[in-house]
Amino acid sequence: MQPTLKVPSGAKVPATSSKKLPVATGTMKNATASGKQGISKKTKGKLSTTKTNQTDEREIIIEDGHQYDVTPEPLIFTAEEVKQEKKDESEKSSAKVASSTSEKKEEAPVGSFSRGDKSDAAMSSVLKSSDQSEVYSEVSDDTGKERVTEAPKEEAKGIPDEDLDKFIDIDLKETETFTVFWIPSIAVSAKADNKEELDKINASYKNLLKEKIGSDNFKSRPSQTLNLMQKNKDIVTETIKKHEFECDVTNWMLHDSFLENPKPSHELVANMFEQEVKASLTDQLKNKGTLLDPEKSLTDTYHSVSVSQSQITNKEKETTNSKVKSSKRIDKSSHSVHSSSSVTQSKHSQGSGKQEAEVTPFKAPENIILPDSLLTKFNIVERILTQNRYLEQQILYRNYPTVEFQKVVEEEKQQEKGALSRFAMLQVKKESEKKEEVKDDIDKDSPHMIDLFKYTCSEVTDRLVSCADWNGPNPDLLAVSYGEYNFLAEKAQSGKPYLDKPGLLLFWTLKSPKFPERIIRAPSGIVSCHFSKKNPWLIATGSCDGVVSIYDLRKKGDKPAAESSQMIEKHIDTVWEVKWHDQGSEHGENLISISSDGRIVEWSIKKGLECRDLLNLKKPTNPNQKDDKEAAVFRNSVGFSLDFPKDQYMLYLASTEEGTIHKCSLSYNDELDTYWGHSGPVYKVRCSPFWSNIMLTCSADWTVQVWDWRRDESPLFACRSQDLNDAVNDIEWSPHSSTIFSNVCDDGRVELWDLSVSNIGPIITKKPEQRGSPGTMVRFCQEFPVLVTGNSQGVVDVYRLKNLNQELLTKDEHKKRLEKALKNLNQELLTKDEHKKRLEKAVYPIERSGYHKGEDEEEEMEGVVD
Amino acid sequence: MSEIEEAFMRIKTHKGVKGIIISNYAGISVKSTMSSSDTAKYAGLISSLTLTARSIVKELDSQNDLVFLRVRSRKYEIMIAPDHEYILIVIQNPDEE
Repeated sequence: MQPTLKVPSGAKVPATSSKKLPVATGTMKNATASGKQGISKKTKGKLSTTKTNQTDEREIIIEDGHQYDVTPEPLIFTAEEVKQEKKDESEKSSAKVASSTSEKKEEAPVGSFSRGDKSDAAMSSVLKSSDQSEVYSEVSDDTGKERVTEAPKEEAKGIPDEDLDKFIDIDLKETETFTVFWIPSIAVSAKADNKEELDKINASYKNLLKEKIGSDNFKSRPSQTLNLMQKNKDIVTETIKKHEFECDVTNWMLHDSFLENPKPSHELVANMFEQEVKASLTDQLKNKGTLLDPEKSLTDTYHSVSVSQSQITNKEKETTNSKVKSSKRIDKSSHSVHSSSSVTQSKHSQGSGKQEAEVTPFKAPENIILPDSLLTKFNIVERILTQNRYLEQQILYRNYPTVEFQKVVEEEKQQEKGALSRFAMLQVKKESEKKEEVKDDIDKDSPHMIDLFKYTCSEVTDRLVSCADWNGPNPDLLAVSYGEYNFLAEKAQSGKPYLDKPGLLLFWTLKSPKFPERIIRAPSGIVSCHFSKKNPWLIATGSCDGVVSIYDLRKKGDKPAAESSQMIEKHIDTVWEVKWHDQGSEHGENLISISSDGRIVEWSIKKGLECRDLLNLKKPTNPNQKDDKEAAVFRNSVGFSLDFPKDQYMLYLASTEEGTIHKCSLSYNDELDTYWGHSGPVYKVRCSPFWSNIMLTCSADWTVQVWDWRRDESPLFACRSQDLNDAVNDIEWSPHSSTIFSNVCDDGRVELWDLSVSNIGPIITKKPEQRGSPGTMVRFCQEFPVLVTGNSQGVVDVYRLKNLNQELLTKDEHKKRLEKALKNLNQELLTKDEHKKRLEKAVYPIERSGYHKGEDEEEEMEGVVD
Repeated sequence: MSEIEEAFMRIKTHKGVKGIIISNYAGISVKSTMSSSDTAKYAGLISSLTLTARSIVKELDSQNDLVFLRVRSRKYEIMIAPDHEYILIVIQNPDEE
């Protein structure tokens, strides 16, 4: 009889004596998981089949023909099964079961149990079952156990509470040690027994290695290694976007870029991040005993760093985006193919795109921010443009020999047939104009002034040029101050009340006559300015409201380095003149100012701005005027100007509104001497740069007086042109020639006098055709034969002086020349012997010394001298 | 107006100035006062010239750099001031009355 396979029904189905074959459900999963196919059936074994009143849980029962149950016993028991066993057979030793299970699990704890103690058995079975369930997960068998998990739970419910506290003995067994992994060491203990052997082996191996090199016995040869089989695997990703970029690179570009960025940018970012983190760490750890703030994570700092980085890059992106926008605009207008988003497009595409462009005016997008680095380039270009325009004038200014350009073009014009280029026409025209100009000149060889250019700009139209000064080291730089001082006159003219307009200090140069190098704005009109000789970057200004300011030109901005507005001893009225005076090494260079409040004040900047009253100008009584019935009015008189004679450290001369000039000393509070001669306020006093005895004064009484202040309290003579009926506002000695000086007057004229020629009239006069604006300032250029004058319309005229008698003489020779000239002009200067000689010459002109033209003229001039 | 804008205005209104172009070395102009076709021509042609001129100066002495370049033609003058990334081009007719 063949064995038949019988599958019992499910657990709940009560088993009958006749065994059925139920379909096993739910076990298929396990079966497939375990990888075996076919019908998987639970085989729940039961050791005895004899009892029929018990449920037969075995699902597959194999019986041989003789009704013997030969179902193979399961190797692993579920908790239920064990329980069943226990229930069924109490006589059967669970030790057997235990042993059978323990065979399977080497490390599982084996619970000892006592017979008859159901609860113990249950406990042990619980333990076992839990172990079993562990094992089940590892073992891949036909025997999938679904009900395993259910069983311990059911049993757990069944444990009575009393039994929980009972002690359970657990035996732990140790399994034998088995090696999982072993790498033998290559080091051997020095005390090992076989050390000598090993040493020999090592030495022989080393020798072998040495021999191998270059030996014929050994030849290196490649060998093939096993190539493992490869398998291709496809993946799908997003497309990698590509941009095209091209540029020309030269040696120096690499050199430059290396100089700029020696560290790659990611390193820089990493360094920055490190520093930030360190800083934040030290901050947080400063408090004793505190750990890092858990709420503020270090990633925050990283984010802030990265954000700032991204901000920077965003800004860059913005500029690049704006550039891209502009380029896009070009593209749109030209209908070209829209190129990639990178700014650096290839030239070819750009070029071809542009060819199709429409002729539309290019509108610069408003959001383009020009980089500041271009500012220097703008300045350079401006200078070049100015040079193109004013080249001739600049050459004249600099006293370079002039160059003739036009002849070449003339020839070319003759060669060309047909249409003349406009340029050539202009050149020809210019040439002819030049010739005409030359003819217009009365006498090319006589002294005259050529108008070069005008320093003016829109900022200063209608502002009065009050003062100017040249810079020492940079002789091209002219500082011009603008402010109003003719208050009443202006009020009368305009009819409006006088408002103190803000003052301006502009720095002009011949390289840019259209726009000054720098503009400094002051709160109130600036009336005088002076560069320091010792520190040429300092310029002192005096203004209408009495404030004395010192500007440091190395700094940007309008704020002065020092000013007297907050000081108690400040001037309370217009400061007419400020002058730096070097008193030698002990005192250094100090500033002296004179003002309408009658005080002469010395300022020092050694420790902040300090001042010291030098003198109070009092209204003196005129000794020449005996009918002076005015009571002594204790009031200070207004001082207009002061000057230091050359080589005199302590003495200075000051001029006042009363028409007097005072000789004062830095160490005395009183005037030493007074000079009378003018009948009106003396606007300026200037000492000769060649002969310190001689001083020059100009006044509102239409005259310019020449004095020798060492000799006399009266002037030597006066210089006044016949037709001058206006106040003389400014005078200056020429730095190149001892006998030349210049003056400007209220009717707008500029005059140049040369005492060696004549003192009746100036050698050069430049008058405006109609009554022009009053000239307020005149200066000679130290280096070049140039004269600058300023007027009340804010225009500074620059003239080139030509054909003046300016020989290159030493200072002594200059002095002598001046002496000689003055002697010729003023009889009193001559000594008795000289007088005698003169008389002889006059009486016996031909016999003794021949006819001298000059002497005759001297005699004529006698009557003219004041 | 910033300093640079003022300088730009001054140059623009200078006597004889035909146009101003600011471009980069690739020939793309950033700002210009001339028509777009002219701008494109000037920028494209002048940028390559500037690069060559700069190479000359730098190849001769790597510490040196080009400051200014003037191209004087019969009709007008082109003034080129190169910067690190930009080129400033000014076209002037100096004899304009």
